[in-house]
Amino acid sequence: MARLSDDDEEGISLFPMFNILACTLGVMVFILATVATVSLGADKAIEIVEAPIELPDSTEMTLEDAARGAAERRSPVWIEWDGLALTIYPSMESVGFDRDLRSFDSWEETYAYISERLTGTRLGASIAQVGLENELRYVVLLVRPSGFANMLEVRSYFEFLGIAVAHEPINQQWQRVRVN
Amino acid sequence: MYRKPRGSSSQSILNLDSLMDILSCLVGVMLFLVIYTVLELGSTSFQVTVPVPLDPPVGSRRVLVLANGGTVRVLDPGRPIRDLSTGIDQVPLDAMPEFVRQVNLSAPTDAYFRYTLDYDVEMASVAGRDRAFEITVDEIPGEPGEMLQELDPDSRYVSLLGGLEPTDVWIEFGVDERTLDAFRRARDLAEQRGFATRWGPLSLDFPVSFSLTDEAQGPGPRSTLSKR
Repeated sequence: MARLSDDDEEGISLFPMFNILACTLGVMVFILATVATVSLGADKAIEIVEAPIELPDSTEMTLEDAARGAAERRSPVWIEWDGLALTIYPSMESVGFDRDLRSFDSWEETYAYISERLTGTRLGASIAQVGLENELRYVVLLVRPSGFANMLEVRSYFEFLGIAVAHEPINQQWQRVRVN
Repeated sequence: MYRKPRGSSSQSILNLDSLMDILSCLVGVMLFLVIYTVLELGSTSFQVTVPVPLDPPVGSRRVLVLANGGTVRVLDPGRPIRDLSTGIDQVPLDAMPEFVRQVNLSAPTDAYFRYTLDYDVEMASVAGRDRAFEITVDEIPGEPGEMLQELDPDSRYVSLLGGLEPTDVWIEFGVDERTLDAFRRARDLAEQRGFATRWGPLSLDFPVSFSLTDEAQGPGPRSTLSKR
């Protein structure tokens, strides 16, 4: 007996179409996430550089310019302070402080505590080395807002060691900081 | 009898060539996006330049620029202090409260702040006349200062800097956590005009009082004198 239906008709399947649809939706979600991430600038690196010093000709140089020249010869050592820990860049060696540095009544006690925490650590050794080479190097303290309140204690400690210090605020949300 | 061979139904309806084409295309697009994202995120969003600190000019006085609450304001109490304290030495002690009241009727102001003189009679009898005076600084309503977007060479901030000489003053920025970007911009503008600058963490709640004998002449960030 003749059959009216065709073989092709009986086997129409929507599976390939669903596969394509699912795949397309997945790609669109991926594109959306990528565009959002890039446009928000999330996780972008922040580069921190030392400002160049402009000096006049040697014939017109004043005492102030000579001081600038001396400062220019020094190279920076970048250390971050977030209120709880010191971290040196780029090796990211860190030392934490479990006491609030403002809680000490005198500078002597404050410095003794900081020294105690740094002793025996690689960060402490690096800072000691900077102290020995203070004619050639200085510390740039990158301070997070969470470290504003007790920044003075850390800064004074470096000055106590005879190390020249510059300090610069960095935003709390910056996660990838590069120094140059 | 010849019978036409029947292919399997799956062979006839499920040709994967087109699906493979689409998949290859989509995978290509995704690969492109991955590479683009990696390159984009690997770049820096911006640079922060750390100026090398230099000593302020010898004999120069400090002017505070308050970078608080997202705005920048110049707080220079030098002239108001002079205005408020002129003739104070000639006033007898018993007439001092009335003198202070009269002075405060025309309290000096600047672009953002109003300055008044306070006199504590009890303090005068205990610690001496000089320690009995305080200057109180309060905000002028409707003068919030300039935000980051407003800080350009034509801004009020720059015009106020124009009234100062880089050889006579150095600028100390008092910065809170909400105003870091505006502070950087304001500092750049000041350094372009030759001012020596410093910054320190500072968040002021107005009104703010300080002693008339205060050598720093006004509020400022914490100093090493805060501990023994």
